[in-house]
Amino acid sequence: MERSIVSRGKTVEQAIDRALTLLEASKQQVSIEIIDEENKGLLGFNVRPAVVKVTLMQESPDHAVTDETGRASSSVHPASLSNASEQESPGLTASRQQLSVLDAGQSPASAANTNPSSSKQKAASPVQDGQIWIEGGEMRVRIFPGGSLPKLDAFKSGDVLINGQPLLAGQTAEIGEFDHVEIALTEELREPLWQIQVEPKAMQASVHVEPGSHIRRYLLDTEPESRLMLRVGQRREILPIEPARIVEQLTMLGVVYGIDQEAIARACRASEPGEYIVARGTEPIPGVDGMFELRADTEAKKVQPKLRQDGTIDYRETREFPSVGEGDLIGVVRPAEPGQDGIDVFGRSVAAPPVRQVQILAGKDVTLSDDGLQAIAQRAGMPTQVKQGYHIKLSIVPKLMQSGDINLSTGNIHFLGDVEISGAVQDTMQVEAEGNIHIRGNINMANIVAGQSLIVNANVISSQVVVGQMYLFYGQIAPLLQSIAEQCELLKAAIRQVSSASAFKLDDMDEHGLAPLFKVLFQGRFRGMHEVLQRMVKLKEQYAQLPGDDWKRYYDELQRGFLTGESSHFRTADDLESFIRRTRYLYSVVVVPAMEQIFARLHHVQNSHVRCGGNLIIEKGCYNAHLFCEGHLQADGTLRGGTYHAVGGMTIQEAGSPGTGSTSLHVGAKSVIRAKKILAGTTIHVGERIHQFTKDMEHVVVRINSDNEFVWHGE
Amino acid sequence: MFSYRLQEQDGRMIVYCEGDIDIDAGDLIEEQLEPALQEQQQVVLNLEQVHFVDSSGIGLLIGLVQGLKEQERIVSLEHVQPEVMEVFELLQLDEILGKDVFS
Repeated sequence: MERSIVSRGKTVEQAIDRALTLLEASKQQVSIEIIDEENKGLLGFNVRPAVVKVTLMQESPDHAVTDETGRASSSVHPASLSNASEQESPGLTASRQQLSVLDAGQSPASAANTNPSSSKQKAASPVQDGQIWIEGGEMRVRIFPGGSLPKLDAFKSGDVLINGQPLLAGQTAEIGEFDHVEIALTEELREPLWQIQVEPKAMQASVHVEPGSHIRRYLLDTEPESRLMLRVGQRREILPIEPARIVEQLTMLGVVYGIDQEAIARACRASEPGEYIVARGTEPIPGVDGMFELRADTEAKKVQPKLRQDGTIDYRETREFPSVGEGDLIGVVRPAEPGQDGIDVFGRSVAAPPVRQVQILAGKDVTLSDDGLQAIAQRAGMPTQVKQGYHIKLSIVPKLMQSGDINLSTGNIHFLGDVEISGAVQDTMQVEAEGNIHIRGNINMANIVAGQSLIVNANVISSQVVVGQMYLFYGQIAPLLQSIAEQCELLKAAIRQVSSASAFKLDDMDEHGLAPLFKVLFQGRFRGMHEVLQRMVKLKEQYAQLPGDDWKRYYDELQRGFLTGESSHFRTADDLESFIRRTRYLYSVVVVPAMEQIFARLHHVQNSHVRCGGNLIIEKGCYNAHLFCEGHLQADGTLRGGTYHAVGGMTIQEAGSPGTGSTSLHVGAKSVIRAKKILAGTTIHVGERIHQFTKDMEHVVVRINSDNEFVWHGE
Repeated sequence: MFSYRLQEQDGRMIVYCEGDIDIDAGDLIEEQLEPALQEQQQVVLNLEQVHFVDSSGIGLLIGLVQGLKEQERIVSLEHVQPEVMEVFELLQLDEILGKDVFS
């Protein structure tokens, strides 16, 4: 450790000799700094002593560190700063102030040399007590002959050393003229920490910054007193990051595009920890897929139904089912509009998601224009489209016209196209059509299955009605497929992750595929996916006839892949890839655009079950009926007794039966029930929320909000 | 090759497992170890000497621990190697078996 002594003498030589004696050192071991040369004065006036600072040089290199920190703080005398380079070292550094002020204090004049504020001097009384103070961060003492010695209070045990002895907390020491006082001041240096992260899609790079700081501590100045209590002040300086280092690191990572210099500058100057986006890619702009626009629909709406002479309705003139005449334009293809590619922070081009063209396949009685963009009907009938991904097969469906009733004498009807019946359907008879069905008369104790839409102009009594079976299936399976596709992506990532763990062996996959791993994952992270898979299987059991081979293959793959338990045909994460593709394809098939949605329109329903894949319109009312529809239910009469499910919400006149609680209304969580009147005893279900009316209520509009609470409007 | 050694200690049955817990350990775990632990109130599986696992082996481990826990026995895994623990964590074994098993 370094020791310094400030010494005074009549001449420079005298002052040095005196210091050397005190330090027990030779001239070779010290550095000498002449602070003030003596002034011999003129005729005895203005005599000033010489002042020197003698510093004992370091002897052992072992003490190098202490030496440096010692030097760092040896701002004891401003004059010594010239050779005291500020050293910064990480972490906590302890610096010790070394002070040893040698002041004979014999005459006021000599004391005044070390005390610039000579005004304090003037107050001196003949016999004065010693004074101690901090000035400019250093300790000063002045001792007068005959006066008492000034006192120093410890401020923390061990922080003050007097002649090498620690002054404990609570202790007080007298400081004499030859005492050597060291005060330890800590400083903290925290280097700024920062890290650059490029997000997986490389569309942005961010830097996380923990700002660095330098906390310096210094002694606060005090007035000269006989007793000194040390007080320490501190300054916190933010250590900024050099922006060039961040830019350099970005370059090293290969980030070249979308660099935000301003954000870098902000990050570098940050005083609080934070995340700064320092480079941003340009997202690709998705294009628009091609689509097929049906023209026949809008034209047909203009005309009113017209009775034929034989009492049947002219199909082409009912507005509900679109129809075309021979040579009519069925519709046009709107070409896809490609998107715009983006660019990521690595400067790589990011392809916009591909857009798909729709392609029309000409089916029965349909011809296409040369460019394939226009479809024309070859004969009158009902245009139907079958979607196969982005292929649309258009055909004109023939129609079976049945005048009179369907009964035991006519037999059941099974037809590939549309069916129109001018009379009633009676007595356990069955009418099944892949297209639309239009029945003018009553349906009594019968069974109706329409592949597309259904119109019944009279009553449905004690019957079973299914409308748009495929759409019912689609409506239920769509959310499951979406969930499977999402979960499979996560599953793929999880398999890759665990496969790369060093303690994980892959041997059993040769024999059993991923089945053992699925078994574990389905109990843990992917319990939800397992539930969805099981709901898929249950759904399949509900629909005995799946629409098409695609579904059969898909279900087969799903069952053998995930649910057989012992072994799976999926062996690697990559195997899931094609399964995910097929899942997404089927999802695109089942998400039916609104224009293709089917509907059922019935007059009055009693003691019957009706299931509809689209919207359901009841012209009059229902009595003890059980309705389910994927779309919206509109009833212009009363729903008295029974259960009414409408996923897409309902708008009704009146519901409930006086005095009984036998009527219940159900809509999806995002849907609304609107009713002119709901009678006491009626139960409503919105999503999972249930409410039973205790009194009649009019003009009811009810839904649930995002907190799953009922929101009411009504009287 | 998987093997184990049983040692009773302070009323707890310590199962010192050694080798890989994998598909080949199935017979030993299901036919010998499981029956051997039926009477024990408190079972500790010491996995210090287990350095590799596969998904079948983890399935066996889950079966063993769940079987014992269903009978309200106290089961815990101890001295799991960090590499093996990584696999357990990725598969969220603590969720499946209960966090108490890892304490």
